Amino acid sequence: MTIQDIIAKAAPALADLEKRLAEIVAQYPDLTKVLQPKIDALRAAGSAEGLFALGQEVMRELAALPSTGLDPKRHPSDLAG
Amino acid sequence: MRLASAIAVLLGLTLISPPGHAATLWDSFTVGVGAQGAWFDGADQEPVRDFEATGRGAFSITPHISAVGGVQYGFMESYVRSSVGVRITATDVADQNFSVGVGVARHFRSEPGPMDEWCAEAGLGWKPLATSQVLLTASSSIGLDTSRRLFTLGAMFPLKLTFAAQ
Repeated sequence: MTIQDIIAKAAPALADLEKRLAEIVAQYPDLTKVLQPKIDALRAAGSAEGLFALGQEVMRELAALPSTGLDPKRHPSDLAG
Repeated sequence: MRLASAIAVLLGLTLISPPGHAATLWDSFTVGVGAQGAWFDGADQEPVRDFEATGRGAFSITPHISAVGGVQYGFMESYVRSSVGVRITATDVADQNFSVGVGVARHFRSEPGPMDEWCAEAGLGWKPLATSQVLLTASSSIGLDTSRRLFTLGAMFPLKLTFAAQ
């Protein structure tokens, strides 16, 4: 399974997460101001252009990994699941 | 199996990477504990809701790629589920207050039920308060074989690892 495969397989989950948050906003309009920017970020990340650019960036990182070594970042989304 | 092999290769590459780089193995770890609601649904099953205690960990390899995993306990149905996989951050990797990630993971479950299979995943994490480490999280997982879905919404508290050299 390649990086592009992983991204392609995960795209429907991204769309589903966007849909779920939109349902929460529809049910609780008071949360619109808080949740709408997150929904917009999910939509941008899930666009074809966004996913393609992500794949390219990740492939560059992987190619450089043997020379750069670890370059860790803390991602809040890694703790979601 | 191929994904597991790829993760093993990535971890191996990090362990044999040139010395002198600032990041240590401990810098790469993030762990957290929390609680969340979980909603399972699928075409062939009754929707299931539960309240879970959760513990998750991540090992960041590159700015975008992390190996991730976690264990959850469902209080109402008394199940234990777990997952291990790879997560790719799709938003600004320098932003430690908000990110969106996508990936795939193998999900396991202690008892017969939804999500005992490979799943596509998307996760969102947000640190709403500057004065608190608490994260609000949401995730969606879709079974690659059954198309069953799992949605979680909850709060996580990242734990500070203190194993690094002083």
